[in-house]
Amino acid sequence: MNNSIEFKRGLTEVAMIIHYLPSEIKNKIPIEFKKSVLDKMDTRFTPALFDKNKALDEQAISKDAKKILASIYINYLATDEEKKQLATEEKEIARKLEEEKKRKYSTDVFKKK
Amino acid sequence: MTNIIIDDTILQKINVKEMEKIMEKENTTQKRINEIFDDENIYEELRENIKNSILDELYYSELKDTHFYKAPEVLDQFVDVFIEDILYDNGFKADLMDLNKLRKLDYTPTEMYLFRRNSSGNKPKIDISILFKIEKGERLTPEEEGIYREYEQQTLERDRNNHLAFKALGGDNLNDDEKIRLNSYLDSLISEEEALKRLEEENKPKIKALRKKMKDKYFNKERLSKMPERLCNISDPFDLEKFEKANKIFKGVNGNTEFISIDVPNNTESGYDFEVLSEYIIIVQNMSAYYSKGDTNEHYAHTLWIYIPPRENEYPEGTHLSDLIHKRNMNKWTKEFKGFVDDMMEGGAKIADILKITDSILGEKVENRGKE
Repeated sequence: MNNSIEFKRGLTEVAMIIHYLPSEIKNKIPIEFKKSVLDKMDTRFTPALFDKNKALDEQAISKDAKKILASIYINYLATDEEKKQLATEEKEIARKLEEEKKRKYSTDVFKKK
Repeated sequence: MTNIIIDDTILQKINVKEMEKIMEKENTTQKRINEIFDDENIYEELRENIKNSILDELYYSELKDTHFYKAPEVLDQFVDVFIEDILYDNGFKADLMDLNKLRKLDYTPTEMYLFRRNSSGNKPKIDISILFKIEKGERLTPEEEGIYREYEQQTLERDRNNHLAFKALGGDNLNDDEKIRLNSYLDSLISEEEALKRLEEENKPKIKALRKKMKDKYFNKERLSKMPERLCNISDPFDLEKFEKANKIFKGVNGNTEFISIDVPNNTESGYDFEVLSEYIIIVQNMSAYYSKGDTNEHYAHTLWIYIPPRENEYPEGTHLSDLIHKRNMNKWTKEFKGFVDDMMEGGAKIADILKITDSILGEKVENRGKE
């Protein structure tokens, strides 16, 4: 595990968010994982208050917390169909990035000419 | 104590001329919509569906362990008030909740208070144009300043009462002073209640006429056209065929129904928070008449409930509304989580890398699992 203080604080934020999740989501996250979060988080750190009226991406949370939440989604929340969809999206993004590279490259060549 | 306006001025504030103009523009669609709303059976269905929605909303709210959720008779009263409130276009009707009845049903003062609060009855009132002026940084007249100071004072007092009520609900013991204050507040609400009831009785004929006019006003083309685009994509409110279908859907109380309603601007304050339902019950929040100026209808934000058939095959027949809510609730949250995955992937992260984060948090156990 990333042992940086930032990551541990991210875990504290995630613990707080899990606390506020509706039970149907909360129950999908394994107890083992929730325990690990509680064990490894920075207990001295006080995260910003969770605002029930805001969406998750509007909450004042760190990049590390967002990464952990992303991982929770893929591991525990996404359905098989959603996972397949993600894999397709991943390929599509990779394809676009590749195209972008090619386009840049060909433009540069053209300029040299 | 809140300062509810209990004289005729509320009714006078409604711009009848404006409404009459709207009525003149009545077209076939308008008539058809009125027919739907004039049908008593439909009304019953509407009532039942609203009740179910509120039950579900309460289930996900802090009130789920209170009598509000458990006592259907109280909910019945609430639904009645809610529907009346929608139709009357007047916040004062929401204040007609019978607190004495609630007391007889043996609710705790805190629960009564919260229930009352939920029906938007205890908000301080102010002409909204004053708030707009302040927002824009415009100078208030001395008279307006006085009104605003009083409003601030009332808001402060309301917040203190909220705090007290929540404190009691949270199981904290109130000291004697606090108990006296909370009880006196509840008593004051009951006095208001009685005054409002008298007002309603005195104004019955006027209210009846107003009710008809308001019904027409809600469904005028101009307002319907202000629907957010995404809702327009779901259903064209002027498509008579769809309204025909909606009419049939009214008949099915099994929850196999989708709601939409219509948004209007300046939805700045609301007594009803149906966040969980908002994806498919878009409540154009009810804004009290005493928050608005009679001749500026754009300050109003009203609630409409329009039912449209569910998207084809979206839910099997017999699906209960609570299941729909559950499904939508799940969708809402998972969508938000997925947003983080999308961000990471767009930044070049691979799914495999994202997966590793939870594994690394689980640590040793996962490593062992891999070895097995």
